[in-house]
Amino acid sequence: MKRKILFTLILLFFLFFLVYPIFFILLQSFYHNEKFTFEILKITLTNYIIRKSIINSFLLGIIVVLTTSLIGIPLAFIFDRFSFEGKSVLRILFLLPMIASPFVGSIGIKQILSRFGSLNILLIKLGLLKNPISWIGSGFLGIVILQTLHLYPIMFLNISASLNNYDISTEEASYNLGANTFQTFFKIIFPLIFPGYFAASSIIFIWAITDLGTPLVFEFNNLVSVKIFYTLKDINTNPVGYALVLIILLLTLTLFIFTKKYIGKTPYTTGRVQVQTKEKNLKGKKLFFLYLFLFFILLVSLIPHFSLIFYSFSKKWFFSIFPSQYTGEYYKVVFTHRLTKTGIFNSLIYSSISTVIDIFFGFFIGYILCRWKIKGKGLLDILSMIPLVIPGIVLAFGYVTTFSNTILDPKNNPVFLIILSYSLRRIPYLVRTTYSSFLQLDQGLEEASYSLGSNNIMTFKKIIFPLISPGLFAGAILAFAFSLMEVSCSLILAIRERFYPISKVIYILAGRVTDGPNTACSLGVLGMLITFICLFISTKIFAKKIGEFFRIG
Amino acid sequence: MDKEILTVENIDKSYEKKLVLQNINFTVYENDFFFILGPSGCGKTTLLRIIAGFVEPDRGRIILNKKDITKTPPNKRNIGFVFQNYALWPHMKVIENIAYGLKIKKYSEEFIKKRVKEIIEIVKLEGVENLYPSQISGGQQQRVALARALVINPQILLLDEPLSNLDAKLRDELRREIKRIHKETGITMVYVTHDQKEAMTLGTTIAVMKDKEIVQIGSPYEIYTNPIDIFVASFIGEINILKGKIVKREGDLLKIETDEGIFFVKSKKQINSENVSISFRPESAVSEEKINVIKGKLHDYEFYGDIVKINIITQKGNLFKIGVYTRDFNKYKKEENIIFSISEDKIMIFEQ
Repeated sequence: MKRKILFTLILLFFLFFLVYPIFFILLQSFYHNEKFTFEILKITLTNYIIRKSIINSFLLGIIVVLTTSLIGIPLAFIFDRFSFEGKSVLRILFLLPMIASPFVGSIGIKQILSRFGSLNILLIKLGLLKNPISWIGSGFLGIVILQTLHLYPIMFLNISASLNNYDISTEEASYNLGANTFQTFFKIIFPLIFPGYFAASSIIFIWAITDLGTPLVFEFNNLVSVKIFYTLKDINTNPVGYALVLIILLLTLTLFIFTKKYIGKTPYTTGRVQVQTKEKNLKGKKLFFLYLFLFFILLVSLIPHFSLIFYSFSKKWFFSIFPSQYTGEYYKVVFTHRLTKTGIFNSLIYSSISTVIDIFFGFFIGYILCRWKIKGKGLLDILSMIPLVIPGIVLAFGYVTTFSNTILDPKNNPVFLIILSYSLRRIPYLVRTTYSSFLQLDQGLEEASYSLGSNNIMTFKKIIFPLISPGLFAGAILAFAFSLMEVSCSLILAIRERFYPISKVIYILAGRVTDGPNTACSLGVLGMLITFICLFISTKIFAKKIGEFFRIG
Repeated sequence: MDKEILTVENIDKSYEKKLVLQNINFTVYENDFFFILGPSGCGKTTLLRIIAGFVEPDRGRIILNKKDITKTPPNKRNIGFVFQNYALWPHMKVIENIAYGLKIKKYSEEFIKKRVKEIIEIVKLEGVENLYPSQISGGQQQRVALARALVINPQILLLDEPLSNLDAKLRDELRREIKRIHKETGITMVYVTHDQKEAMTLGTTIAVMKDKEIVQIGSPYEIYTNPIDIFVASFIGEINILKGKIVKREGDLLKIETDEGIFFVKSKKQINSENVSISFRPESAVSEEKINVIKGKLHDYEFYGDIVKINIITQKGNLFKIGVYTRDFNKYKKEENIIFSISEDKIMIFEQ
């Protein structure tokens, strides 16, 4: 009985705060003046500016997929095939770009790429350039660069995993039969890693087109995400926003379902993973060029982070490669300025509460999926994974429109919905970690406790919780870090100043010409630092504790 | 009359419409070392888990010490359980694993200390009390699992294939240990295994399971010498089988015609059909030419140390396995005819 109540409550939660808003968007895009109509979609697709935005967004997604492929795939091959000093450290360093969102990085990099920014000054000093050029241009290039530098680790990770998953002897067989490297790559290797490549490309594509913060900073408005953001202001008279969100939603779902089907059905498993080592030792010139390549990529991908740090300390930075004067006063401002103080306070509260909610849901859903036999379990499984494919911008849009003029209206007080959106989007990660922890946790461990006279609560306290908690906390720390620096939902849902979280404060400050950007950068650096620490702790817990805990029997 | 400890009555259980246990009935008496023996997939572990309360039966009752516990949750049953993979808690030290059940029952610190020490001596775990399960050997983990279940002084101890994760030598050692612990503590045990050697050497009573049902219950001697059917006969040891037809009945003496000639069988069993299978164990054959003779040539042999099992191939091409003492083994030469006979009361007979 108690089980059923808990189960029903969890289902209702998802239905009301996840399915209902999506359904509402769906309905509104076909429903105008109390009639069912395709008019809204038609207007959306025929309007010149909007059509241009859609094309731009597509272009952006495809270009970023290509650029991340160009960096991520070679990188994955280098790490898979060669052994060299410092490999394990470098592998971690290549994940570093992910600690700052491109939105934050873009504030810093503007200083590098602008007409009189560091890059132009450097090129002029080197004699490579006569007149400064605008690298950012309309802003599109800037967005591509920032997103590429942020997203290539996803490509790198996925391709690495794919390369790890197949037997090296399939390649050797190809060489053995007379194929050259080129033929082997296109006939054997690429087909084998394609499922992983497709999955990574889908994630990157969706990420790129739904990113709101970066285009806003670069003031590039002809993108679907930005259009959605601005149409929210007059959504009651202009329903185009619904149609745009619908397009994104459909695109996301199609890619997701296609990936699932494709990867689930792919017959390309080569069975056992190779036993023999495939890593080659490099020497001399080759090794030198390998390091050169790696360090170059690393340096470039960390430029946004470094520029952010320099910017946050710079007192004067005009017509010079590096700031000409440094100061720490902007960090003082961060802790004294009314707006930043509000932001930090709000974000801490929002993220903490949403993390607690995540822990609760992650634990119980993981437990139910793994241990209970109950009707509707399949539904819960699907519902708890849906947030993975719902972009933040879609969820936030859904919340604003669905709950406007209700008690939850974010125009009055968005706290509840912000917290909810933060936690909903991280629930899948926590469900996954706890679910896999439970799978590894032999049911006998619980039964042994029952057989010795222990009841549910005691067994939970003494056996289940201590064994699950490393995974749960590792996941929770990550969820906390990501919530703290969340962009889309924060920008959209926090409408009134006193509810601003960090991201929105950074966005507002970055737009204030005089001292704003410096303070925004300091706040960004702090966020980056917190994210880094959280990531570090989380991987430490994961790597050590779990490893030694679950090897027994 | 021995005191009844556990009675299992008319138990049925199915998973997703597939029946895994059908009409299970048996009684375990005090101090019994009761074995549930059967091939994998016959439902024996499910049966044990029903007794422990981890699984609810669809029908039937479990009675422990005259109390119906069918609906009692596992934590209120006071039944010890030793898991196949031990299920030791990896985050607790050996001593914490063992003391857990006593702490749950809120015994005094002093009592817990005393009782844990006692049990550690019984299972011989001195010296590893403060290590974690991952830091001790497989055999020691098994001892911890035993100690943890025994410490609460359960009314009955259930063991689910407790030795299957150990190598052959450790398995022999722990088998003796379990026998010793059974003797020292006098606790009633129900032990599930697929290993007939374990059941024969340790058990006082064996219930043989086949395909969701119990087919025979009896002492190891009874089951070995008087198996109910060919399945039990072959599961519990090696047998030779020969098909035949009853041609004459004289009281309990039956005359049976087979491929290999006429055999005489003495049996108290009621045999209704004329078509039968007769069988005998390798050690029942004796090297002489009397009644029920088998004649053939040495085909091959398996050397066991104390005995040798030789395979004889007859002219008709039938193979028979016969056990001889190693000291007699060089009597049998290849290419020479070998003759054995089996006395009429050593032949088992089953309806076909």
